[in-house]
Formats: sequence, C-alpha cells, structure tokens
Amino acid sequence: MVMHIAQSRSGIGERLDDILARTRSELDRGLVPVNIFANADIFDAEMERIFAKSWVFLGFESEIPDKGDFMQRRIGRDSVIVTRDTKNDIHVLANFCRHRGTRLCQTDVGNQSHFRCPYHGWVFRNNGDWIGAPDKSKAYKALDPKNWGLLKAPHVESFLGMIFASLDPDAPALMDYLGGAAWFMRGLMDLHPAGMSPMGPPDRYKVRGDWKTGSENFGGDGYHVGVAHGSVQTIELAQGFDVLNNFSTHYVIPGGHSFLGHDFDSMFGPDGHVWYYPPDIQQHFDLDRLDPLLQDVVKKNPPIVGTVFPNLSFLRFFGPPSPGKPPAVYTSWRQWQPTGPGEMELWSWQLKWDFMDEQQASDSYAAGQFGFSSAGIFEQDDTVVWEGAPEAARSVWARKENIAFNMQMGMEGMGQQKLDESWEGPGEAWRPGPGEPSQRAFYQHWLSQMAETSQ
Amino acid sequence: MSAITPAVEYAIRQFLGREAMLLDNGRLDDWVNLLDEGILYEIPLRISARKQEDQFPKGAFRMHEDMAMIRKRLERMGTSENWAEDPASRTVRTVGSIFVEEDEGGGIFRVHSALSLYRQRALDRAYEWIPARRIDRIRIEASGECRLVRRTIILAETILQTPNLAVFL
Ligand code: FES
Ligand SMILES: [Fe+2]
Repeated sequence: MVMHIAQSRSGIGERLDDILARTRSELDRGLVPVNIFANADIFDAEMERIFAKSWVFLGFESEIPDKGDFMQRRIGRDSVIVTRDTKNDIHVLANFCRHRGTRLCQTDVGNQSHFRCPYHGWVFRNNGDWIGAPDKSKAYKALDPKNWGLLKAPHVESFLGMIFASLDPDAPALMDYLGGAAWFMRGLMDLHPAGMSPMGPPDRYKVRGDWKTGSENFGGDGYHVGVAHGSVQTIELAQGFDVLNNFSTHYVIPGGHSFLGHDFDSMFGPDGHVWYYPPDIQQHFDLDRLDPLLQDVVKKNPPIVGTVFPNLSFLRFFGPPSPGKPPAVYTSWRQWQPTGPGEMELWSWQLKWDFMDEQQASDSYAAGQFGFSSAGIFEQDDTVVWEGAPEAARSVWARKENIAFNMQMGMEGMGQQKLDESWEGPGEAWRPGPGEPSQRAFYQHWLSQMAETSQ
Repeated sequence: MSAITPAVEYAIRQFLGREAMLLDNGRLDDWVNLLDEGILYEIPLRISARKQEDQFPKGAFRMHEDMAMIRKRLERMGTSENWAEDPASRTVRTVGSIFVEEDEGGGIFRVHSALSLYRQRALDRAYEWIPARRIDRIRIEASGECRLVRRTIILAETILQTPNLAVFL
C-alpha cells in the first residue's frame, strides 16, 4: 500500500510555542493558522496535552455485555483494552505487556479472564493485575506483582451507557468535564429508560483529514451541507438544505463541546418536532424524563449534530432506508481517531433504541449507513473535502504567507447571528445561522489545553 | 441442480470479465443492466477475531443495498456535486480465482472470486488498493445471458485504507 502522507515538521522559526502564540492572536479575530493541521510537533503535543488528559470516549457498555468481554479501542494513538471483569467492573488497560512491550490483545473483541503474553508468558488478569509468569519461583521470586500490572486508566466512568476514560490522575469527574454537554446528551439518548446501543461494531476508515476538522465540522458546520452534500438534495434524498442555516441554533458549551440545533417544525412542517421521529417511535418516548427546558429544546430545536471534546461526535437525521420507503431517523455516533499529523481514522456506529423492533432497527441502520458510513452518500464527500486542510498545512507557500483559515462567520459585522440573551440552558445559544461560534469555541478550548503545559 | 459444465463456467467467466471492463471504463449504466432487479449488494462489516466466523458480527454491514439504492448512487454520481469522485477514480480491477461452486437451482450459480482493485483518485500521487473476496449469485437465463442476483463482498481490511467506498466492487 502506498500512502505517502507527508508529515511536516515545524518550518524555520516555527516552534510549537510560536505556532500556539500565533494561534492565540489569530483566534481572537476568528482565524485559525494553517500550521496546526499537519504539524508533527502539534500532533505530539495534542497526544500529550489533550488525549492523555481529556475524558475520551471508548465505546458502549453494551459492546462488552458479559463478564470477561473485552474490546480493543484507542485513546489518542494508544491501543487500550476495555475489559469487564468478574465483578462486572470495567477497566481500561494499556495494550502492552509490562515485561518487554509485546501486544497482549490482537483482536477487536473477545472474552477471556486473563491475558497471557505471547512473548515470555507473563499473565495478567482482565482487571490488569499481574498474576504470574513461567517459572515464577525460580525467575521472579522477589517481583512485587503490585508494580507490574498493566497500566490502568486512573478514571473510568460511564454515562448513558457510554464508557469514557481519562489518563489524567487529576481529572475532574466525568460529569464535571461534560458539564452542559451532559444535559444535551440526555436530550439525545435518555428519552427512554433503556436508552440506546450500537448495532454492531464501528465502521472504520482512514481519512486523510485532521481529527480536529471532524470534531469542528460536526460541532456546528451547517454551512457546508448545501454545498458539500448538495448532491443528496439534488437526487431528492434530503430536503431543506437551502434554509438549514436560517433555522439553526449553535449551542456553545464551555469545555469545547457544541451542538447544532434546528427548528424542525419550521423546516419540515408540524410533524417535524423531536427530530421527525415517526409516531411508532415517538410513542415510546417519555419526554417527562427531561427537565422542561430540555423538553422544549428536543421538541423545537433538537441538535442534529454535536461534538463532545475532544473527538466524539454524533449525528441524528432522517432518510429513507431505501429510496421510496418512508424515512427513518438514524443516530450515528462517530469518533475522529487521530493516527498521525493530518490523518485520522473515522469510526462510526449506528445506534438504536432498545425498544425498537427488528424492522425499526434495521430501517434505521440502513438509512444511517446509506448516508454516513465508509460508503455513505453524505460521508464520502466529507472524506474528500477534509483532505484539503492538511495539504494546505504542508504547503511552504501557505506557511510563508502566514495563511490562516477563516472562522469569522457570523461575527460582529459579518452576519446576522446573535447571542440569545434569553437562553437559560447551559452555555450560549447563538441564532439564527449561519455562523461559526462553535468552531471558534472549539479551537479556543483546544488552544487552552495545548497552551496549559507549554510554558 | 446439476454439475458445473464447461459451458456454464465459460458463461460466468465471460460475465465477470465483461462486468469488470464496464466498471473500470465508467460504463455504469451498462453495468447496472447486468444486475437483477432483486439484487442484494452487501459488504458485511469485518473485525479482527480469532475465529473466521467471529469476524463478521451478525447484521453489521458497510453496505446492504437493493436496486433502488444502487440506482440512486448512480444518479448521485451523475450530478455535478459528486465530490468524492470528481473526477471518477481511475480503477483497474483484477478478478481472479474464479470458482463456480454450486448450482443453487433456478439457474442460479454460487460463484467465488477474488478482487484486487487498484484505485487512483483525482490527482493522487499515491494509489489505494482494495482487496476483497466476492461471493456472487449469478443467474444464467434461458437466453444464455447472465444476471447478478446477489453479491457479498468480503473485504480483507477491517479498517479501510481508502477513505470511502465510492466505487463499486
Ligand atoms: S514481553 Fe510479555 S512476557 Fe516478555
Ligand atoms: Fe458533512
């Protein structure tokens, strides 16, 4: 396989701190320097300062339902094993042997009570404990097992069936980290007590785009839909692209999170509320589980995309499971996995409600995959347009000219977007679109994390 | 059910060769005429697992398409907004290891083949390579013409190295 991905090192006079300092001054004007999208130093700093510190999404509890189940996942570029032990506790373990680093888990999923290293045979329990080695009494009599267990994430918590972990011993509690984002996630996933779970493992594909672009786009880029995805409206599989921005609300949540709401009733008529879910689905929802303001958001301005910092996003929209069939609402969960400067893997799950019958679930799955998957008729186009930013970032010319990308949409003097002073929910609500307050906030937060330990 | 005759094998080989030629030459409207109206075109999702049977989690797929969906894809490719394939990838596919396994009755044969698809997109210097196995159901009609009734594509990769599946396999 030939996949020459050029990784640019800092150019002359472009040290990490210089790039961050410049980002700081540009961001105040709504600009983002091109340099941050394919730079090896930036990438390394992101792994340390963002991915090894944030609460990172790892998957769903329902993906490892039984004792002994495990799945291999990622925190940044690190491979981790997410296990369910004999006490039903979930652990997040570094996927390498403490003896000499051999990979312990080579499969995506499995079920085992312990991991035996294929190199010299050290054995670890699925909670990470060191439990043995061949010839232990002759070879390692004095070895203290406490010091040689697998690296274990200090914080693992679940929320609405989703597993998150943080490698930072000083991390805040997950709920504090999510803050207002947790409120919106409830609106998305807590409409029924049994919640949502994925229909299968993630669809994974390599995209030559930066992880930040995925996060930022799904955080609130309503502006690209009519153009990048114009074909989907042209072939009449979606509608409303031309008016999308007029009915949007950017919910900007402290911590780099954001959600993009849309007034479905105004866009699609009186049946539009609650994401256009058809009656046979809506009848299962109990909106009283949500506080009155959140109920109002779900009915009138539900988010169709959103991002939880750093790299978890979702999308909820509707489309036919096959052209000509009535539309189904799908919920796609996605993670932008950084694999190198300016490149990522896109991981995408389709979720279902627990109460769905087989037909409802398969319709939702088919509609979701048709739009957003490695073959998705929406997603295909994103995978290509996102290749641009890293390419531009590798351009000596662009860097020489100090090129910055434009995120000024809707700023003072640019457009019509206003901060809704009457908004009583978490964070800020900016409306109507078009605008890019979410993108600016995302990069501001990114910068604050990157800069924190840079001195 | 009958034995696989040389005539059957010849018809199927010719069919697969013709199909590959049409796809590589961008003749999608001609290609779609090779499909049965009841086509199922599917790509099961594959994961890394010890046992072969565990590599394909039940019900999980990258694509699971009927004729209406395939026609819509063609329609989309015909718009001026098909950015994933603008211009269309240059592809060269090698279809080999053809094995006509069984007559399933009703003139339908189960056919295995290996696909090695070279894909170069737009102005890419690099290429992408999509290796897969295919299990086809091909019907030989009374007229001698063949139709693709079902195609199951088993990708070698669990994490796709090409950014999208905007090309037919
Ligand atoms: S590397 Fe694992 S036992 Fe030696
Ligand atoms: Fe998009």
